[in-house]
Amino acid sequence: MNSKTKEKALSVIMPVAFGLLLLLLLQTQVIHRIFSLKTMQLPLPSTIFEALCTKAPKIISDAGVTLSAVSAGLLLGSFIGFLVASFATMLPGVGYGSLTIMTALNSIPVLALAPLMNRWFSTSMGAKMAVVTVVCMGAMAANAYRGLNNLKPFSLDLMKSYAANRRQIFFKLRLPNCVPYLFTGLKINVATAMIGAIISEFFATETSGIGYMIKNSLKVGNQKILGWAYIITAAIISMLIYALILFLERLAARRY
Amino acid sequence: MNTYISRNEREVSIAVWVVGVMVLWELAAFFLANVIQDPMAEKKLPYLHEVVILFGQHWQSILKEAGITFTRAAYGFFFGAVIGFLLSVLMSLSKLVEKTAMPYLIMSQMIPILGLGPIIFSLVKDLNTARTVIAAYMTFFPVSVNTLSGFKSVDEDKRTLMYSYAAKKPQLYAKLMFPFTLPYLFTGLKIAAPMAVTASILVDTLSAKDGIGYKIVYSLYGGGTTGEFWPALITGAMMGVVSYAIMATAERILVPWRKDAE
Repeated sequence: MNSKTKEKALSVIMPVAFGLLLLLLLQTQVIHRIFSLKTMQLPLPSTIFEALCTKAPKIISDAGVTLSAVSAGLLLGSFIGFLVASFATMLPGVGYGSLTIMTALNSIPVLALAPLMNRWFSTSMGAKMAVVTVVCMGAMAANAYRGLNNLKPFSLDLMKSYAANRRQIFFKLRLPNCVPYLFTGLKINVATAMIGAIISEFFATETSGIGYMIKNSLKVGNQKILGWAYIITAAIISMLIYALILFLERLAARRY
Repeated sequence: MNTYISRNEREVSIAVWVVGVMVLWELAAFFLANVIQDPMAEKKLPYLHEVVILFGQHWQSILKEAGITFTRAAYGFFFGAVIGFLLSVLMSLSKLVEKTAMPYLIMSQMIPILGLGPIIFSLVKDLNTARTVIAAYMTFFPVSVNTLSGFKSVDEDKRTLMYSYAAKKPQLYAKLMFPFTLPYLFTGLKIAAPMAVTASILVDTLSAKDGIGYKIVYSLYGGGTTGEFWPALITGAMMGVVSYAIMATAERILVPWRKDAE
């Protein structure tokens, strides 16, 4: 018991200590000296924090713009991916190919997708959501398909011996089995969705959102620090979404 | 994994879908151009056969640029894979390293590295270094996480057997851990390869003068021959698929004992 609590404490203390050490090395410019960088290239943590505080209202409103596109696209894309996986499970012969198409779709570079979607949609928000939706479909389809088909041995035979029909097998056996895999898919998609939205904003015509601000503040020499502040914001938002999904996963784990 | 349909059936299914998507594309292009009469139809979605013809006209320059991007992606991929592998070995050796590094590994994925292209560029000041850094950054995570899960799923019995033979750590790794982990390593490599390609394409667009990404953006904004946009776009997508296929083939050759590979 005692060693277990000790181990648990260590698993919190070690990463935190490492993080603090890293921050300290950055702040005291040790890292700058090693890689011979100037503070203009890699700003000190304190100045980034300062920028985060002074520009907070603007940053929050930009973050809201990006967040709404990310969450809408993430949910929509994951849902479509799940539908494709279900289709491939219910009709294995026909559906398997659709799964392959999904994976191929996944390998289209976001970079190529973003300017194209700007042509298709008249608003930047629509284009952004479309990009995020497309990049989220593949991972979810692959994971959901695995979850719907990696069943415990003999469970399918058991269902069949109960004379369960396809629909009952799907809802009573496959779907509950799939739940942990859905969360894995969602977790993979958080970072992808964020990247998709930011890249899409690089090309967007609208002048708001995290991606636009990163690109714009890097162009202007003395606003580099603001760009870093936006990057930190993007990372924080991704982590918050990730934490939310982890929380929901815990809740679901209690049931399934 | 899937016991219901045979390999043959799968191939037929995939072929049917590929043809289906092609037909759908042609129909959608026709619909845009003639039913809705969208003035931008040709820019939004040109006919597939026109794209093929365009590819036929420009294939030399497109494939040349694609080759440049691909080779550069390979450098970053290689470094990322080596770093990821070493990291996973370290984490499997020491619980303390794993506990310290794991949260940062996950956090590192939350940083939108692709969006950081311009910043990395300003840090290292050299485009090809930036490319290697970004591609390596995208690669190391899937490799290290998958390899670590491979190390962790080595049977306890097998380890105990090795200990009973008084095997030393290097022997343990060489004879048991590495061979056992190979399939897991390849799972990571297969995920990472298209990501490295994407990273390389991104860096092309920053300010390079060549590469497929440059071609895509340049032709999109009409600076160059606009006809190259669609063929270049599809080539870019295909490069991801090809990189995956290369890893899958390498796996089949190097890990012949893994019969159930998808």
